[in-house]
Amino acid sequence: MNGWLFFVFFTLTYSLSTKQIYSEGSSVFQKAYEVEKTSTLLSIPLYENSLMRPDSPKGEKAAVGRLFILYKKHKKWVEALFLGSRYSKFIAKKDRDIVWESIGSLYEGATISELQTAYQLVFASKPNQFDELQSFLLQNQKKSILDFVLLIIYRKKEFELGIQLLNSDPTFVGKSLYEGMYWQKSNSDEFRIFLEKELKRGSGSDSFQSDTSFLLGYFFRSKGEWEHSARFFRMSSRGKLESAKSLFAGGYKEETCKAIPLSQNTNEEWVLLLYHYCSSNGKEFLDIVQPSLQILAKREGKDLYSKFREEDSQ
Amino acid sequence: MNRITLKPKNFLFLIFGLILYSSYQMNSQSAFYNLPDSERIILYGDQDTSALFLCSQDQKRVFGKNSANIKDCYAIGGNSIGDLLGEFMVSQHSTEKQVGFYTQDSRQIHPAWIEPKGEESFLILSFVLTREKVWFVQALRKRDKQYFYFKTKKDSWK
Repeated sequence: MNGWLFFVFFTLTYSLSTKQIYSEGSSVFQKAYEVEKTSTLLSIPLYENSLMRPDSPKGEKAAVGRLFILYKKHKKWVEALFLGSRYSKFIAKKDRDIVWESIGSLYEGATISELQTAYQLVFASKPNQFDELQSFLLQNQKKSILDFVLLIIYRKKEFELGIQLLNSDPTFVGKSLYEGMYWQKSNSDEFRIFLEKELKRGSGSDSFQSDTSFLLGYFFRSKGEWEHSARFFRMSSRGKLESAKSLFAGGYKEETCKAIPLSQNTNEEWVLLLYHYCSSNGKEFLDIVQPSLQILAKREGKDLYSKFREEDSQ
Repeated sequence: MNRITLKPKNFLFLIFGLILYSSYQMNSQSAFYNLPDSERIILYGDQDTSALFLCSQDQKRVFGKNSANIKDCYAIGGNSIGDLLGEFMVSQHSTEKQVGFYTQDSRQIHPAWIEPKGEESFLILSFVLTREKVWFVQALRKRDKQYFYFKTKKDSWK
C-alpha cells in the first residue's frame, strides 16, 4: 500500500515539475515571438533563453531556426558560428558555409580554412594546454588570425586561456587591449593591477592611448564613476558608444542623446535602445522589449540595462 | 600589562582596513595621463582678463558646457590660475566639481594653452576637481578637435 502511494506521489510530482519546465521554455519562446514583431534584434536574447530549456525537440529546432535567421539578419556572425557548431544537426552545411564566408570577408589576409583551423584549435585548448594553438599562430604570423582567435576566446569566456596565450610569446605583445578586456571580465583586482602596469609602461602612440583610455572607461564604470568613465571612453577612438552608455547610466540624458548618431536601422542593441530612449515616443517600445532587457541585465551582472527600467518608472 | 591579541573579529577589521586603504590608494594614485609638471600659460586671445572669471559650474553636463554658479566665481585679473583653482578646494563636496571660464555676462569661453612638449595647442573645456581633490582638465586639441582628459596639478596653470 505504501509503495503504491509513493508511486502516485512520485508520478504527480514528476508530471507537475516537467510541465512547469515545459511551459517555461515555451512561454519564453512565445515572448520572443511577441517581441520579434516589434524588434527582431531584441527578440534574440529571448530566443537564446528559450534554448536553455527547450520544451521539446521540435521547440528546440524552431528556436535554433529563428535564431540562425536573426543572427544572419543582424550580422552576428560569431553567434551564428557558435550556434552552427552546437546545433549542426539543425543547420544545413551550406548555411554554416555562408557564415564562414562572411567571417572570412571580415578577416582580410586569412583564408577560411585557416580561420576554421584556428577556431577548432581554440575549442581544443584549455588553460595550460594550448601548445597546438600557440604553434599554429606562431607559424602563420598573421594579425587577422590572431585577432580572430582572441575574439573567439573572449566570446567563449575563456579569459584565463586568453591571458596565458598572450603572455606565452613576445610576438603577441601589442595586444594589451584584449588582455585588459580578459582581466576586466574575470578579476577586478587584477584588472586594476594590469592598468597600473600599462600606465607605467606608457607609450606616446595613438593606439596605446586609445586602447588604455578604453580600458580606463571600463575601470571607472565598474566603480560607478560615470563621469570619469564617459570621459575616458570619449578619448578612445573605439569608445564613443561606451561613452554614451556611461552618460546614460549617470543620468545625463541630453549628452547621451548627442553622443553618437542613433538609428532604428542598426545591429547594435544599445544604439536601438538609446534611439528609443531619446525619442519622445519611445516609452511604448521600451515597455514591449522589457523581457529582453531583463535577460540582458542578468547576463551583464552589474548592469546598465536595468537603468531603462528606472527611467521608465520615473 | 595588557596584551593586544588578534581575535578573529579584530583580524577582520584589519583586513577591512587594508582593503579600504588599498582602494583609497588607487583613487589617489589615479596617475592616468598626467600632464607633465611644467608651467602652462593660458591664452585668452583678445579677451581682457580683468573682465573674465573662473567659476564652478552646475553639473548638468559631463563635458564642461555648463552654466556658472555665479556665487562661486573668482576674477582672473592678474591672479595665477593655480591659486584660483586652490580656492575651489576649500569647500567640501561629495561629488566632483567642474570649473570653467566665463565673461562678465556669464558666457562660457574656452581659452587655450600650448603644450610645452610638442607645441600642440588645446582648448580648455573645463577643469574637474574629483571628490578626492585631484585635478583633471578636459580639452580639445585645436588642430582636429580630438578630445583629451588629463590629470594635472593646479600649480602648473598660470
